[in-house]
Amino acid sequence: MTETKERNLYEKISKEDVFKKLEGIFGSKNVTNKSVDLYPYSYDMTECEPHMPDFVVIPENKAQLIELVKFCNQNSIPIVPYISGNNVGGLTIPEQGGILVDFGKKMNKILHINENMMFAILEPGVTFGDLKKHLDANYPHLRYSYPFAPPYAGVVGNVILSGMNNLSCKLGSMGDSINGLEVITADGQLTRIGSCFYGIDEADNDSWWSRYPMPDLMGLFINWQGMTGLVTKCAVQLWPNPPLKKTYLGIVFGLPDVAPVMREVGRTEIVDDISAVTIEVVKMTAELPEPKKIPGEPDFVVLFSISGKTESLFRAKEEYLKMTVENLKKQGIKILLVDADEFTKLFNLRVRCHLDLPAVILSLVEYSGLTWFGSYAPTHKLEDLIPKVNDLFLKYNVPPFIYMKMMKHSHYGIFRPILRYNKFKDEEKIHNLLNDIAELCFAEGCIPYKTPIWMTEKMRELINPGWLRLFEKIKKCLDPNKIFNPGRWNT
Amino acid sequence: MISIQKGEDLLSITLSTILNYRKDESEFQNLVLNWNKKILIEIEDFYSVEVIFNRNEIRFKVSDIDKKVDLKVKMNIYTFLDLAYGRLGPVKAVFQRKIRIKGLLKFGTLLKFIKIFLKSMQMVASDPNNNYYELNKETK
Repeated sequence: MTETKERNLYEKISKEDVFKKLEGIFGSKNVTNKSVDLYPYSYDMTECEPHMPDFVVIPENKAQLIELVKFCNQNSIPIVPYISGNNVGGLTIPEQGGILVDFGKKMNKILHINENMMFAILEPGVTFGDLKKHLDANYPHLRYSYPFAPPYAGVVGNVILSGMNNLSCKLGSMGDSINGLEVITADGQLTRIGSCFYGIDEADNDSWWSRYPMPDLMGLFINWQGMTGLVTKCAVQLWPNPPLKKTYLGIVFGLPDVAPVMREVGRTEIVDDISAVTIEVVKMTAELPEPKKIPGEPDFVVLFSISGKTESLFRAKEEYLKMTVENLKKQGIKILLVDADEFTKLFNLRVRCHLDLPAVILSLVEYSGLTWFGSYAPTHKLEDLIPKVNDLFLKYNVPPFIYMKMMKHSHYGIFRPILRYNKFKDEEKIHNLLNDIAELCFAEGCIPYKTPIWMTEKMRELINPGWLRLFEKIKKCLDPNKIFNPGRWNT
Repeated sequence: MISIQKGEDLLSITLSTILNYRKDESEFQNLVLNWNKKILIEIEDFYSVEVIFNRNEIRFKVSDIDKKVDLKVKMNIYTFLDLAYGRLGPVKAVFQRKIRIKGLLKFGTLLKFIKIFLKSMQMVASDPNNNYYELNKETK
């Protein structure tokens, strides 16, 4: 059984009284303090140390949450937001106990779709599966973008933690596609950020159309891992759903050569998404849990997704993609470009989980443990990073699992070595490997996202002191009683 | 009952998928049962895989192109896909030297190779179902 880290949370009010108060706010059916109910919230797939929450509550509306925040702020009791627990960073493990707010059960409504300005207003518990189903059924001319994550993962968690999806080569970080937020701050104040800021009471549903040009307060809540407030609504951008779509598969021989391939294709500005995985990952998906690369096999497979509204536009993009690949070949890079639909059918249909998103990515769910060094990366460092990290995997006798993306037409990249493992068996080895990978990637300037606490501790040694002081000041100002997801970023 | 080894490299996995598609079909079983031949398939830019037909077993082995076998077939990945998706016929492919065959005079072996491999590739390619779990219902 996992235990709660001591912070003596219940000095001002007893646990019994807290429970009574929570029952009063949420109703007795939506509050629990039973160990059997709390346990599943105490851990995730990662190596992060488990901790039990003291209570789990299931909210239905923001009025309940405002009351909760005021109560917690008064009594210095931690609040940890939770959607589906699928993050790979221990982000919803209640580091210091307290009250875990499970948004996934009841606050999971798609509140509004604006077809004209193409955005959706979502409650925090809406999943990728919910949104895709809703759009496909009611707004087939609109699309959202989806990560390599299961359909039951949350949309709002992904955007406010700057996840990346299958339109990221075009759009960049999903944090950039937020139009507006509704947040409860520590004093229980409900705040609307973005163009929805007009209006004394409720905002008009159609007013959530832009993040700018007022001072950008959104940054006080994006990437803060729930440390500054409780998000209760989020408006995300949608995009036109073009009728013509196709994914090409770039089969690349030569570990570092995948970097220029991704960069150059990203710069063409015609590709929706570029995702690359090591060949071992392709084989893992085809039911080989511990694959070894054999001589002659390619090193990477890269997915290039293109789309077009008309046949001629689509063909032009295809032509440009092929031309770019031919130019890369002339530079001595060995790459083969094939139709992904055609290839996957003959190879193994299981790999379609990378194409038909949102989907459970089979290679990520085979083991009880999963962790990664998920980072934003300077793309000019990839040639160095890839072989070095690959060697680290081999040194630890772990099949190399490297996943990369090009973001916003190659302005920056994503570099994510992923580690699957048997919990309680390989934990030490995997943590050592992850630690080595982290050290190497920090040295090359990579910046991890959805960071676990042990990683931010290392980062603090590298970060400019001015940044850290400002960060602490903002945290203190927004959360003076340390109630919002305390412990994250070593706060 | 035909037993087909699970591939462990890209080409063997592909060949295994293709051959598995028909393994319960009687015509396919009659073709491969006791064929007892070794076929070497090389995909240019990749490597060569030896497909070993032995009684009711089909096995794969990454092999050297110089290995002595019953039939050697060499093509690139684009020809492989064109053949599967019906954009190119086998005869035309041979005449255009898009497929290179060593052992061409062993006509029976060649014919059987076409019946086993090419037909299976085309059947997999033309199946409209893209859902692995629909096609492999025994998979959890």
